[in-house]
Amino acid sequence: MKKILLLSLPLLLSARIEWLNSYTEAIKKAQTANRPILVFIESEYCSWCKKMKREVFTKTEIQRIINGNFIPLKLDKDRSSYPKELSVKLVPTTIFLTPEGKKFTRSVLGYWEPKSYGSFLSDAIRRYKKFSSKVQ
Amino acid sequence: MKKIALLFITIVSIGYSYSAKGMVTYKKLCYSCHGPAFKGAAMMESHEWRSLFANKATGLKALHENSQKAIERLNSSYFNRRAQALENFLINNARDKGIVRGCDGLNCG
Ligand code: HEC
Repeated sequence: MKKILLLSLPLLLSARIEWLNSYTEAIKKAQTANRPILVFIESEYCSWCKKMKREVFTKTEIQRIINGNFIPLKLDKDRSSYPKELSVKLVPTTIFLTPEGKKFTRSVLGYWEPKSYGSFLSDAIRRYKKFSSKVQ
Repeated sequence: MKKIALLFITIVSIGYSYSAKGMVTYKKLCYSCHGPAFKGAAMMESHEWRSLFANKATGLKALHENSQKAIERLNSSYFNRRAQALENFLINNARDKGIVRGCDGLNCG
């Protein structure tokens, strides 16, 4: 049984991204899991956002990084409710939050292809480790 | 007229090769840790790159004091010879300068 679980771990991690749509739910989940939140902000008529969803969030490497390190939250710039600190000029924007909802590193502005986006994610993970070790 | 065109082409190609040189330098020295070149440049704003490269890149070296491998590269003569080209490439493609592929209002760049 244990073996089966272990063998299926990589598969589980590379499963599709289960985006939350509620800010408060994401905060709750992040605090329980003690993980940072990745907020992907999009809008209805945003072709670059669609390209991100089609070409980046479908890649197993990206899914593995996100599922293994973040609580993923997807918000609509115009329709979702969220604190005003998350207001953006440009979509897509990816924002990184601590479980308390504070930004701990720079946001990713616009569309980036998988390799670059993955590198931004690694930077954010590194920054979070540094940030949380300082706080505690 | 021909002369002016020739001069123009020369200037443009010098400018181009200058930034290409910076990009090649990035690939040799920074890519392995920071990923693709335009992503690397977009980590910082242009004024931040300027101050990181000031005084023989003191700031950039300080950022990497915990990474022996990065320090070796930043102290190499290759880096010293190409620091200016690298700085130009990074500044021209910084967060506040590069092309952002996103939508701002109804305008998708
Ligand atoms: C051997 C790996 C390595 C190489 C090579 C390297 N870096 Fe870094 N760099 C790092 C690490 C690790 C950090 C994070 C330092 C920290 O947070 O303590 C860093 C941090 C940075 C930062 C600050 C990023 C931030 O989010 O604050 C910049 C800017 C940077 N590097 C630029 C460069 C440039 C330009 C080059 C090429 C000339 C380069 N680095 C080469 C490993 C490397």
